Amino acid sequence: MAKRELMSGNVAMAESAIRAGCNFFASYPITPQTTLLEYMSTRMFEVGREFIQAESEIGAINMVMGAAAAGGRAFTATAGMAVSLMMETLSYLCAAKLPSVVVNIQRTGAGAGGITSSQTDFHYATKSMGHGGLHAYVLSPGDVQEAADLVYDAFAFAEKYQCLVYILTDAMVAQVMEPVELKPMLENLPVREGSAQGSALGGTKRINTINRTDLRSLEGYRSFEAMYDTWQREEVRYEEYRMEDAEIVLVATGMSARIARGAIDTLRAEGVKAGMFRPITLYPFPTQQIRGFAQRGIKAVLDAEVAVPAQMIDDVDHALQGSLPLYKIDCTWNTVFTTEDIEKKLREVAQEV
Amino acid sequence: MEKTILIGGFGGQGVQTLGKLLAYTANEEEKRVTFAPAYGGEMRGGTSNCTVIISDSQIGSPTRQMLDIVVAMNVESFQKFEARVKPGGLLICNSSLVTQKTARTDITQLFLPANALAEEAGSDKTLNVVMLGFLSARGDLVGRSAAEAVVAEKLGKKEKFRAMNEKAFALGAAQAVAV
Repeated sequence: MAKRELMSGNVAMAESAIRAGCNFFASYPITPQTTLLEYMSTRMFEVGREFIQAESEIGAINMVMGAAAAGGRAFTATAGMAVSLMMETLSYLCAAKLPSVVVNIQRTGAGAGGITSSQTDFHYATKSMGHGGLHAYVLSPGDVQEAADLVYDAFAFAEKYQCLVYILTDAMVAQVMEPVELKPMLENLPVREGSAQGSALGGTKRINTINRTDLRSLEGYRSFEAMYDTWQREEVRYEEYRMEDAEIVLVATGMSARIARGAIDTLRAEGVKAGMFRPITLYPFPTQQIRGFAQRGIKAVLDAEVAVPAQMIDDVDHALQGSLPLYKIDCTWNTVFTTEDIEKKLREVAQEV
Repeated sequence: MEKTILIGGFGGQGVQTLGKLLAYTANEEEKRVTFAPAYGGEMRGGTSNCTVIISDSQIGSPTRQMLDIVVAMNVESFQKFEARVKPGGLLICNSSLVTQKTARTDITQLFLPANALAEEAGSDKTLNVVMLGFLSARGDLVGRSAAEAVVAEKLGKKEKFRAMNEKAFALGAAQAVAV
Protein backbone atom coordinates (compact mmCIF):
# COMPACT_ATOMS: atom_id res chain seq x y z
CA MET A 1 0.00 0.00 0.00
CA ALA A 2 1.22 3.47 -0.87
CA LYS A 3 1.88 5.70 2.09
CA ARG A 4 -1.25 7.47 3.16
CA GLU A 5 -1.28 11.22 3.65
CA LEU A 6 -2.95 12.87 6.60
CA MET A 7 -5.49 15.42 5.35
CA SER A 8 -8.87 16.93 6.13
CA GLY A 9 -11.99 15.98 4.19
CA ASN A 10 -12.02 19.46 2.65
CA VAL A 11 -8.49 19.12 1.28
CA ALA A 12 -9.06 15.51 0.22
CA MET A 13 -12.20 16.48 -1.72
CA ALA A 14 -10.46 19.45 -3.35
CA GLU A 15 -7.40 17.48 -4.45
CA SER A 16 -9.57 14.59 -5.64
CA ALA A 17 -11.61 16.97 -7.81
CA ILE A 18 -8.41 18.25 -9.41
CA ARG A 19 -7.13 14.72 -10.00
CA ALA A 20 -10.47 13.76 -11.58
CA GLY A 21 -10.08 16.55 -14.12
CA CYS A 22 -11.84 19.51 -12.53
CA ASN A 23 -10.64 22.52 -14.51
CA PHE A 24 -13.01 25.16 -13.19
CA PHE A 25 -13.76 26.02 -9.57
CA ALA A 26 -15.79 29.02 -8.45
CA SER A 27 -16.87 29.44 -4.87
CA TYR A 28 -17.46 31.81 -1.97
CA PRO A 29 -16.02 31.10 1.50
CA ILE A 30 -18.23 29.91 4.35
CA THR A 31 -17.55 27.85 7.48
CA PRO A 32 -16.89 24.90 7.40
CA GLN A 33 -16.09 24.86 3.68
CA THR A 34 -13.45 27.61 3.72
CA THR A 35 -10.38 25.37 3.85
CA LEU A 36 -11.57 23.63 0.68
CA LEU A 37 -11.67 26.97 -1.13
CA GLU A 38 -8.34 27.98 0.42
CA TYR A 39 -6.68 24.83 -0.89
CA MET A 40 -8.13 25.32 -4.37
CA SER A 41 -7.00 28.96 -4.43
CA THR A 42 -3.36 27.93 -4.68
CA ARG A 43 -3.55 24.41 -6.06
CA MET A 44 -5.67 25.26 -9.13
CA PHE A 45 -3.05 27.80 -10.23
CA GLU A 46 -0.26 25.26 -9.69
CA VAL A 47 -1.94 22.91 -12.15
CA GLY A 48 -2.91 25.69 -14.57
CA ARG A 49 -6.67 25.61 -14.09
CA GLU A 50 -9.32 28.22 -13.37
CA PHE A 51 -10.06 29.35 -9.83
CA ILE A 52 -12.46 32.19 -9.07
CA GLN A 53 -13.47 33.45 -5.65
CA ALA A 54 -16.87 34.72 -6.67
CA GLU A 55 -18.67 37.78 -5.29
CA SER A 56 -21.38 35.52 -3.83
CA GLU A 57 -22.71 31.98 -4.00
CA ILE A 58 -25.14 33.12 -6.69
CA GLY A 59 -22.20 34.28 -8.75
CA ALA A 60 -20.25 31.09 -8.05
CA ILE A 61 -22.94 28.67 -9.16
CA ASN A 62 -23.74 30.70 -12.29
CA MET A 63 -20.06 30.65 -13.20
CA VAL A 64 -20.19 26.89 -12.74
CA MET A 65 -23.13 26.76 -15.14
CA GLY A 66 -21.30 28.84 -17.71
CA ALA A 67 -18.16 26.74 -17.41
CA ALA A 68 -20.13 23.49 -17.67
CA ALA A 69 -21.95 24.74 -20.77
CA ALA A 70 -18.60 25.59 -22.33
CA GLY A 71 -17.26 22.09 -21.72
CA GLY A 72 -15.52 22.69 -18.42
CA ARG A 73 -15.37 20.15 -15.63
CA ALA A 74 -16.95 22.49 -13.12
CA PHE A 75 -17.06 22.27 -9.35
CA THR A 76 -18.20 24.35 -6.40
CA ALA A 77 -18.52 23.85 -2.67
CA THR A 78 -20.64 25.59 -0.10
CA ALA A 79 -22.47 25.15 3.21
CA GLY A 80 -25.48 26.05 5.27
CA MET A 81 -27.75 28.85 4.12
CA ALA A 82 -25.54 29.55 1.10
CA VAL A 83 -26.96 26.47 -0.63
CA SER A 84 -30.27 28.30 -0.78
CA LEU A 85 -28.65 31.08 -2.81
CA MET A 86 -27.66 28.49 -5.40
CA MET A 87 -31.01 26.80 -5.71
CA GLU A 88 -32.36 28.52 -8.84
CA THR A 89 -29.22 27.64 -10.79
CA LEU A 90 -29.05 24.10 -9.42
CA SER A 91 -32.49 23.59 -10.96
CA TYR A 92 -31.19 25.01 -14.25
CA LEU A 93 -28.15 22.73 -14.16
CA CYS A 94 -30.44 19.70 -13.88
CA ALA A 95 -32.82 20.97 -16.58
CA ALA A 96 -30.00 21.74 -18.99
CA LYS A 97 -28.21 18.44 -18.26
CA LEU A 98 -24.96 20.23 -17.54
CA PRO A 99 -22.45 17.93 -15.83
CA SER A 100 -21.24 19.57 -12.63
CA VAL A 101 -20.30 18.71 -9.07
CA VAL A 102 -21.45 20.48 -5.91
CA VAL A 103 -20.38 19.86 -2.31
CA ASN A 104 -22.68 20.93 0.52
CA ILE A 105 -21.20 20.71 4.02
CA GLN A 106 -24.36 20.88 6.09
CA ARG A 107 -24.72 23.31 8.95
CA THR A 108 -27.35 23.28 11.63
CA GLY A 109 -30.56 25.21 11.71
CA ALA A 110 -32.87 27.20 9.50
CA GLY A 111 -32.53 30.86 8.56
CA ALA A 112 -29.17 32.14 9.78
CA GLY A 113 -28.73 28.78 11.52
CA GLY A 114 -25.50 27.98 13.36
CA ILE A 115 -22.08 26.68 12.42
CA THR A 116 -22.24 23.25 14.03
CA SER A 117 -22.43 20.14 11.93
CA SER A 118 -25.80 18.65 11.04
CA GLN A 119 -27.80 16.54 8.62
CA THR A 120 -30.70 18.94 8.16
CA ASP A 121 -30.45 19.28 4.36
CA PHE A 122 -31.47 15.69 3.59
CA HIS A 123 -34.92 16.49 2.22
CA TYR A 124 -33.64 19.67 0.60
CA ALA A 125 -31.02 17.71 -1.36
CA THR A 126 -33.03 14.64 -2.24
CA LYS A 127 -36.62 15.63 -2.96
CA SER A 128 -36.23 18.21 -5.73
CA MET A 129 -33.19 20.17 -6.85
CA GLY A 130 -34.82 23.58 -6.55
CA HIS A 131 -38.06 24.21 -8.42
CA GLY A 132 -39.31 21.82 -11.09
CA GLY A 133 -38.87 18.41 -9.48
CA LEU A 134 -35.62 17.22 -11.07
CA HIS A 135 -32.89 15.48 -9.14
CA ALA A 136 -29.19 15.44 -8.59
CA TYR A 137 -27.33 12.21 -7.86
CA VAL A 138 -26.81 12.73 -4.12
CA LEU A 139 -23.97 11.06 -2.22
CA SER A 140 -23.11 10.96 1.48
CA PRO A 141 -19.50 10.06 2.37
CA GLY A 142 -18.80 8.23 5.63
CA ASP A 143 -15.22 9.32 6.21
CA VAL A 144 -12.38 11.30 4.61
CA GLN A 145 -11.25 8.44 2.36
CA GLU A 146 -14.74 7.90 1.01
CA ALA A 147 -15.23 11.66 0.52
CA ALA A 148 -12.09 11.70 -1.63
CA ASP A 149 -13.23 8.68 -3.65
CA LEU A 150 -16.79 9.91 -4.17
CA VAL A 151 -15.68 13.34 -5.38
CA TYR A 152 -13.17 11.69 -7.72
CA ASP A 153 -15.84 9.43 -9.22
CA ALA A 154 -18.42 12.25 -9.32
CA PHE A 155 -16.93 13.90 -12.40
CA ALA A 156 -17.15 10.79 -14.58
CA PHE A 157 -20.65 10.07 -13.29
CA ALA A 158 -21.78 13.62 -14.09
CA GLU A 159 -20.51 13.23 -17.64
CA LYS A 160 -21.95 9.75 -18.10
CA TYR A 161 -25.47 10.87 -17.21
CA GLN A 162 -25.08 14.59 -18.00
CA CYS A 163 -26.27 15.43 -14.54
CA LEU A 164 -25.50 17.25 -11.35
CA VAL A 165 -23.68 15.25 -8.68
CA TYR A 166 -24.30 16.59 -5.20
CA ILE A 167 -22.08 15.56 -2.29
CA LEU A 168 -24.05 16.06 0.93
CA THR A 169 -21.64 15.92 3.84
CA ASP A 170 -20.88 17.43 7.25
CA ALA A 171 -18.02 18.86 9.29
CA MET A 172 -17.20 15.45 10.75
CA VAL A 173 -15.96 14.60 7.26
CA ALA A 174 -14.90 18.05 6.04
CA GLN A 175 -12.83 19.17 9.02
CA VAL A 176 -11.61 15.89 10.48
CA MET A 177 -8.13 14.83 9.35
CA GLU A 178 -7.40 11.19 8.52
CA PRO A 179 -4.85 9.22 6.49
CA VAL A 180 -6.00 9.08 2.86
CA GLU A 181 -4.81 7.38 -0.28
CA LEU A 182 -5.70 9.51 -3.28
CA LYS A 183 -6.42 8.25 -6.77
CA PRO A 184 -4.09 9.21 -9.64
CA MET A 185 -4.17 12.46 -11.60
CA LEU A 186 -6.13 12.03 -14.84
CA GLU A 187 -4.39 13.66 -17.79
CA ASN A 188 -5.45 14.63 -21.32
CA LEU A 189 -9.17 14.25 -20.79
CA PRO A 190 -11.13 14.67 -24.04
CA VAL A 191 -13.31 17.68 -24.83
CA ARG A 192 -16.75 16.87 -23.55
CA GLU A 193 -19.34 15.99 -26.12
CA GLY A 194 -22.33 18.28 -26.42
CA SER A 195 -20.55 21.20 -24.85
CA ALA A 196 -20.62 24.59 -26.53
CA GLN A 197 -17.00 24.25 -27.59
CA GLY A 198 -17.29 20.57 -28.44
CA SER A 199 -17.25 18.87 -31.79
CA ALA A 200 -20.74 17.37 -31.64
CA LEU A 201 -22.21 20.30 -33.53
CA GLY A 202 -19.37 20.82 -35.94
CA GLY A 203 -17.06 22.86 -33.79
CA THR A 204 -18.33 26.38 -34.45
CA LYS A 205 -22.02 26.32 -33.67
CA ARG A 206 -22.99 27.36 -30.16
CA ILE A 207 -25.91 25.74 -28.45
CA ASN A 208 -28.24 27.34 -25.94
CA THR A 209 -27.92 25.04 -22.97
CA ILE A 210 -30.24 26.79 -20.54
CA ASN A 211 -33.42 26.16 -22.48
CA ARG A 212 -32.81 22.83 -24.14
CA THR A 213 -35.78 22.53 -26.47
CA ASP A 214 -35.34 18.77 -26.68
CA LEU A 215 -36.07 18.47 -22.97
CA ARG A 216 -38.88 21.00 -22.68
CA SER A 217 -41.65 18.51 -23.36
CA LEU A 218 -43.45 15.56 -21.81
CA GLU A 219 -40.97 13.26 -23.56
CA GLY A 220 -38.11 15.28 -22.13
CA TYR A 221 -39.38 14.86 -18.59
CA ARG A 222 -40.07 11.17 -19.24
CA SER A 223 -36.41 10.86 -20.16
CA PHE A 224 -35.43 12.33 -16.78
CA GLU A 225 -37.80 9.88 -15.11
CA ALA A 226 -36.18 7.01 -17.02
CA MET A 227 -32.73 8.18 -15.95
CA TYR A 228 -33.77 8.21 -12.28
CA ASP A 229 -35.22 4.69 -12.71
CA THR A 230 -31.86 3.58 -14.11
CA TRP A 231 -30.09 5.09 -11.11
CA GLN A 232 -32.48 3.27 -8.77
CA ARG A 233 -31.66 -0.04 -10.51
CA GLU A 234 -27.95 0.35 -11.19
CA GLU A 235 -26.40 3.18 -9.22
CA VAL A 236 -27.56 2.69 -5.63
CA ARG A 237 -24.66 2.51 -3.19
CA TYR A 238 -24.63 1.56 0.46
CA GLU A 239 -22.52 -0.14 3.13
CA GLU A 240 -23.62 -2.97 5.37
CA TYR A 241 -21.75 -3.23 8.67
CA ARG A 242 -22.10 -6.44 10.75
CA MET A 243 -25.43 -7.13 9.04
CA GLU A 244 -24.95 -10.87 8.30
CA ASP A 245 -27.17 -12.18 11.11
CA ALA A 246 -28.38 -8.85 12.48
CA GLU A 247 -31.76 -8.59 14.19
CA ILE A 248 -31.63 -4.89 14.98
CA VAL A 249 -30.42 -2.64 12.19
CA LEU A 250 -29.46 0.96 12.61
CA VAL A 251 -29.86 3.11 9.48
CA ALA A 252 -27.62 6.16 9.41
CA THR A 253 -25.41 8.18 7.06
CA GLY A 254 -22.42 10.48 7.35
CA MET A 255 -21.63 11.71 10.86
CA SER A 256 -24.45 9.69 12.46
CA ALA A 257 -23.12 6.46 10.97
CA ARG A 258 -19.65 7.33 12.16
CA ILE A 259 -20.83 7.98 15.71
CA ALA A 260 -22.96 4.80 15.64
CA ARG A 261 -20.26 2.41 14.39
CA GLY A 262 -18.72 1.99 17.84
CA ALA A 263 -22.18 1.40 19.34
CA ILE A 264 -22.74 -1.55 17.01
CA ASP A 265 -19.46 -3.08 18.21
CA THR A 266 -20.41 -2.54 21.86
CA LEU A 267 -23.86 -4.12 21.42
CA ARG A 268 -22.33 -7.09 19.59
CA ALA A 269 -19.92 -7.55 22.50
CA GLU A 270 -22.99 -7.62 24.79
CA GLY A 271 -24.52 -10.36 22.66
CA VAL A 272 -27.10 -8.24 20.84
CA LYS A 273 -27.22 -8.95 17.12
CA ALA A 274 -26.92 -5.36 15.97
CA GLY A 275 -25.84 -4.13 12.55
CA MET A 276 -25.71 -0.93 10.56
CA PHE A 277 -26.99 -0.08 7.10
CA ARG A 278 -25.42 3.08 5.71
CA PRO A 279 -26.94 4.60 2.56
CA ILE A 280 -24.16 6.16 0.47
CA THR A 281 -26.50 7.34 -2.28
CA LEU A 282 -29.24 9.43 -0.70
CA TYR A 283 -30.83 9.94 -4.11
CA PRO A 284 -31.44 7.30 -5.37
CA PHE A 285 -32.22 6.05 -1.86
CA PRO A 286 -31.60 2.30 -1.23
CA THR A 287 -35.34 1.70 -0.97
CA GLN A 288 -35.38 -1.88 -2.28
CA GLN A 289 -32.50 -2.93 -0.01
CA ILE A 290 -34.30 -1.64 3.10
CA ARG A 291 -37.60 -3.11 1.88
CA GLY A 292 -35.89 -6.51 1.94
CA PHE A 293 -34.94 -6.28 5.64
CA ALA A 294 -37.97 -8.25 6.89
CA GLN A 295 -37.03 -11.20 4.66
CA ARG A 296 -33.56 -11.31 6.21
CA GLY A 297 -34.66 -12.02 9.77
CA ILE A 298 -34.28 -8.42 10.87
CA LYS A 299 -36.73 -7.59 13.65
CA ALA A 300 -36.45 -3.83 14.17
CA VAL A 301 -34.95 -0.74 12.55
CA LEU A 302 -33.46 2.31 14.29
CA ASP A 303 -33.09 5.52 12.31
CA ALA A 304 -30.32 7.84 13.60
CA GLU A 305 -29.82 11.36 12.29
CA VAL A 306 -28.73 14.83 13.32
CA ALA A 307 -31.98 16.54 12.33
CA VAL A 308 -35.07 17.55 14.29
CA PRO A 309 -37.63 16.86 13.01
CA ALA A 310 -35.96 13.78 11.55
CA GLN A 311 -35.98 13.66 7.75
CA MET A 312 -34.38 10.50 6.38
CA ILE A 313 -36.76 8.50 8.54
CA ASP A 314 -39.48 9.35 6.00
CA ASP A 315 -37.56 7.49 3.29
CA VAL A 316 -36.81 4.59 5.62
CA ASP A 317 -40.49 4.43 6.57
CA HIS A 318 -41.50 4.49 2.90
CA ALA A 319 -39.05 1.66 2.20
CA LEU A 320 -40.26 -0.51 5.09
CA GLN A 321 -43.97 -0.03 4.32
CA GLY A 322 -44.79 -0.99 7.88
CA SER A 323 -43.05 -4.36 7.61
CA LEU A 324 -40.89 -3.75 10.70
CA PRO A 325 -41.07 -1.58 13.82
CA LEU A 326 -39.17 1.66 13.21
CA TYR A 327 -37.53 3.62 16.02
CA LYS A 328 -35.53 6.83 15.91
CA ILE A 329 -32.80 8.70 17.74
CA ASP A 330 -32.28 12.28 16.67
CA CYS A 331 -30.76 15.54 17.81
CA THR A 332 -29.92 18.95 16.42
CA TRP A 333 -28.42 22.40 16.95
CA ASN A 334 -25.43 22.23 19.34
CA THR A 335 -26.44 18.86 20.72
CA VAL A 336 -25.05 15.83 18.92
CA PHE A 337 -25.73 12.34 20.25
CA THR A 338 -22.74 10.33 21.43
CA THR A 339 -21.84 6.72 20.74
CA GLU A 340 -23.04 5.99 24.30
CA ASP A 341 -26.45 7.60 23.58
CA ILE A 342 -26.87 5.31 20.58
CA GLU A 343 -25.79 2.27 22.61
CA LYS A 344 -28.48 3.11 25.18
CA LYS A 345 -31.15 3.47 22.48
CA LEU A 346 -30.12 0.20 20.85
CA ARG A 347 -30.44 -1.57 24.21
CA GLU A 348 -33.93 -0.14 24.62
CA VAL A 349 -34.92 -1.36 21.17
CA ALA A 350 -33.41 -4.79 21.94
CA GLN A 351 -35.59 -4.98 25.07
CA GLU A 352 -38.72 -4.32 23.06
CA VAL A 353 -38.30 -6.79 20.20
CA MET B 1 -5.71 -1.13 20.78
CA GLU B 2 -7.18 2.37 20.69
CA LYS B 3 -6.05 5.52 22.49
CA THR B 4 -8.21 8.60 22.76
CA ILE B 5 -6.84 12.00 23.74
CA LEU B 6 -8.44 15.41 24.09
CA ILE B 7 -6.35 18.58 24.27
CA GLY B 8 -8.03 21.73 25.54
CA GLY B 9 -6.83 25.30 25.93
CA PHE B 10 -7.41 28.78 24.59
CA GLY B 11 -6.77 30.01 21.07
CA GLY B 12 -3.08 30.86 20.65
CA GLN B 13 -1.73 28.06 22.85
CA GLY B 14 -1.17 25.83 19.85
CA VAL B 15 -3.78 23.29 20.86
CA GLN B 16 -4.81 22.50 17.28
CA THR B 17 -1.19 22.32 16.15
CA LEU B 18 -0.35 19.93 18.98
CA GLY B 19 -3.23 17.67 17.96
CA LYS B 20 -2.14 17.72 14.33
CA LEU B 21 1.48 16.96 15.23
CA LEU B 22 0.31 13.93 17.21
CA ALA B 23 -1.84 12.84 14.25
CA TYR B 24 0.98 13.32 11.74
CA THR B 25 3.25 11.25 13.98
CA ALA B 26 0.71 8.44 14.27
CA ASN B 27 0.31 8.47 10.47
CA GLU B 28 4.11 8.25 10.06
CA GLU B 29 3.95 5.18 12.28
CA GLU B 30 1.27 3.82 9.90
CA LYS B 31 -1.40 3.68 12.54
CA ARG B 32 -5.01 4.61 11.98
CA VAL B 33 -5.67 8.10 13.27
CA THR B 34 -8.31 10.82 13.34
CA PHE B 35 -7.89 14.48 14.28
CA ALA B 36 -11.12 16.35 15.08
CA PRO B 37 -10.85 20.11 15.71
CA ALA B 38 -13.30 22.23 17.71
CA TYR B 39 -12.82 25.94 18.19
CA GLY B 40 -14.67 29.21 18.42
CA GLY B 41 -14.62 32.14 16.04
CA GLU B 42 -11.63 33.81 17.68
CA MET B 43 -8.10 33.11 16.51
CA ARG B 44 -6.70 34.08 19.89
CA GLY B 45 -8.27 33.92 23.32
CA GLY B 46 -11.31 31.83 22.44
CA THR B 47 -11.79 28.27 23.56
CA SER B 48 -10.10 25.60 21.54
CA ASN B 49 -9.91 21.85 21.79
CA CYS B 50 -9.26 18.88 19.61
CA THR B 51 -9.59 15.11 19.83
CA VAL B 52 -7.02 12.68 18.47
CA ILE B 53 -7.73 8.96 18.24
CA ILE B 54 -4.94 6.52 17.46
CA SER B 55 -5.78 2.91 16.74
CA ASP B 56 -4.71 -0.34 15.08
CA SER B 57 -8.16 -0.85 13.58
CA GLN B 58 -10.97 1.16 11.98
CA ILE B 59 -11.92 4.22 14.03
CA GLY B 60 -15.59 4.95 14.68
CA SER B 61 -16.53 8.38 15.95
CA PRO B 62 -13.64 10.89 15.84
CA THR B 63 -15.07 12.57 18.94
CA ARG B 64 -15.73 10.77 22.23
CA GLN B 65 -17.49 11.45 25.48
CA MET B 66 -14.88 9.64 27.60
CA LEU B 67 -11.15 9.76 26.92
CA ASP B 68 -8.00 7.91 27.93
CA ILE B 69 -6.01 11.14 28.22
CA VAL B 70 -7.08 14.75 28.69
CA VAL B 71 -4.51 17.53 28.39
CA ALA B 72 -5.66 20.74 30.11
CA MET B 73 -3.59 23.66 28.90
CA ASN B 74 -5.64 26.19 30.90
CA VAL B 75 -7.99 26.33 33.90
CA GLU B 76 -11.17 26.40 31.80
CA SER B 77 -10.20 23.13 30.10
CA PHE B 78 -9.43 21.53 33.46
CA GLN B 79 -12.91 22.47 34.69
CA LYS B 80 -14.64 21.49 31.47
CA PHE B 81 -12.93 18.19 30.68
CA GLU B 82 -11.83 16.73 34.04
CA ALA B 83 -15.04 14.68 34.24
CA ARG B 84 -14.46 13.22 30.80
CA VAL B 85 -11.33 11.24 31.71
CA LYS B 86 -12.09 7.50 31.76
CA PRO B 87 -11.66 5.79 35.12
CA GLY B 88 -8.01 4.74 35.19
CA GLY B 89 -7.19 7.47 32.68
CA LEU B 90 -4.78 10.35 32.73
CA LEU B 91 -5.31 14.08 33.28
CA ILE B 92 -2.26 16.10 32.27
CA CYS B 93 -2.29 19.69 33.44
CA ASN B 94 -0.18 22.61 32.31
CA SER B 95 0.83 23.57 35.85
CA SER B 96 2.04 26.98 34.73
CA LEU B 97 -1.66 27.85 34.60
CA VAL B 98 -3.48 24.92 36.27
CA THR B 99 -2.46 24.14 39.84
CA GLN B 100 -5.73 22.76 41.15
CA LYS B 101 -5.76 19.10 42.19
CA THR B 102 -8.54 16.90 40.91
CA ALA B 103 -11.08 15.61 43.40
CA ARG B 104 -11.33 12.38 41.43
CA THR B 105 -9.56 9.38 42.94
CA ASP B 106 -10.03 7.06 39.95
CA ILE B 107 -7.69 8.92 37.59
CA THR B 108 -4.03 9.92 37.58
CA GLN B 109 -3.22 13.61 37.46
CA LEU B 110 0.16 14.75 36.18
CA PHE B 111 1.54 18.27 36.19
CA LEU B 112 3.87 19.73 33.58
CA PRO B 113 4.93 23.40 33.78
CA ALA B 114 4.60 23.81 30.01
CA ASN B 115 4.79 27.61 29.84
CA ALA B 116 7.80 27.76 32.17
CA LEU B 117 9.65 25.09 30.18
CA ALA B 118 8.69 26.81 26.92
CA GLU B 119 10.20 30.06 28.18
CA GLU B 120 13.32 28.16 29.14
CA ALA B 121 13.48 26.87 25.58
CA GLY B 122 13.38 30.43 24.30
CA SER B 123 9.71 31.21 23.67
CA ASP B 124 6.43 30.87 25.48
CA LYS B 125 4.95 29.84 22.12
CA THR B 126 6.69 26.47 22.21
CA LEU B 127 4.48 25.17 25.04
CA ASN B 128 2.71 22.82 22.67
CA VAL B 129 6.06 21.33 21.57
CA VAL B 130 6.99 20.90 25.25
CA MET B 131 3.74 18.98 25.70
CA LEU B 132 4.37 16.86 22.60
CA GLY B 133 7.82 15.95 23.95
CA PHE B 134 6.21 14.94 27.22
CA LEU B 135 3.41 12.91 25.60
CA SER B 136 5.65 11.08 23.13
CA ALA B 137 8.37 10.29 25.66
CA ARG B 138 5.78 8.39 27.72
CA GLY B 139 5.66 6.05 24.76
CA ASP B 140 2.07 4.82 24.92
CA LEU B 141 0.64 7.15 22.24
CA VAL B 142 3.32 7.71 19.63
CA GLY B 143 7.06 7.20 19.49
CA ARG B 144 9.45 9.91 20.61
CA SER B 145 11.77 9.82 17.61
CA ALA B 146 8.88 9.89 15.12
CA ALA B 147 7.36 12.87 16.95
CA GLU B 148 10.71 14.67 16.94
CA ALA B 149 11.01 14.13 13.17
CA VAL B 150 7.49 15.50 12.59
CA VAL B 151 8.30 18.65 14.60
CA ALA B 152 11.40 19.20 12.47
CA GLU B 153 9.41 18.69 9.27
CA LYS B 154 6.21 20.58 10.05
CA LEU B 155 7.33 23.53 12.18
CA GLY B 156 9.73 26.44 11.59
CA LYS B 157 12.60 25.60 9.25
CA LYS B 158 14.85 28.52 10.28
CA GLU B 159 17.75 27.38 12.44
CA LYS B 160 16.67 29.66 15.29
CA PHE B 161 13.20 28.09 15.47
CA ARG B 162 14.42 24.59 14.82
CA ALA B 163 16.83 24.81 17.78
CA MET B 164 14.14 26.32 19.97
CA ASN B 165 11.67 23.55 19.16
CA GLU B 166 14.30 20.86 19.70
CA LYS B 167 15.05 22.27 23.13
CA ALA B 168 11.36 22.61 24.01
CA PHE B 169 10.73 19.03 22.94
CA ALA B 170 13.69 17.74 24.99
CA LEU B 171 12.63 19.70 28.09
CA GLY B 172 9.11 18.23 27.88
CA ALA B 173 10.43 14.73 27.24
CA ALA B 174 12.76 14.94 30.23
CA GLN B 175 9.74 15.40 32.51
CA ALA B 176 8.10 12.22 31.33
CA VAL B 177 8.31 8.84 32.93
CA ALA B 178 8.20 6.25 30.19
CA VAL B 179 5.38 3.75 30.57
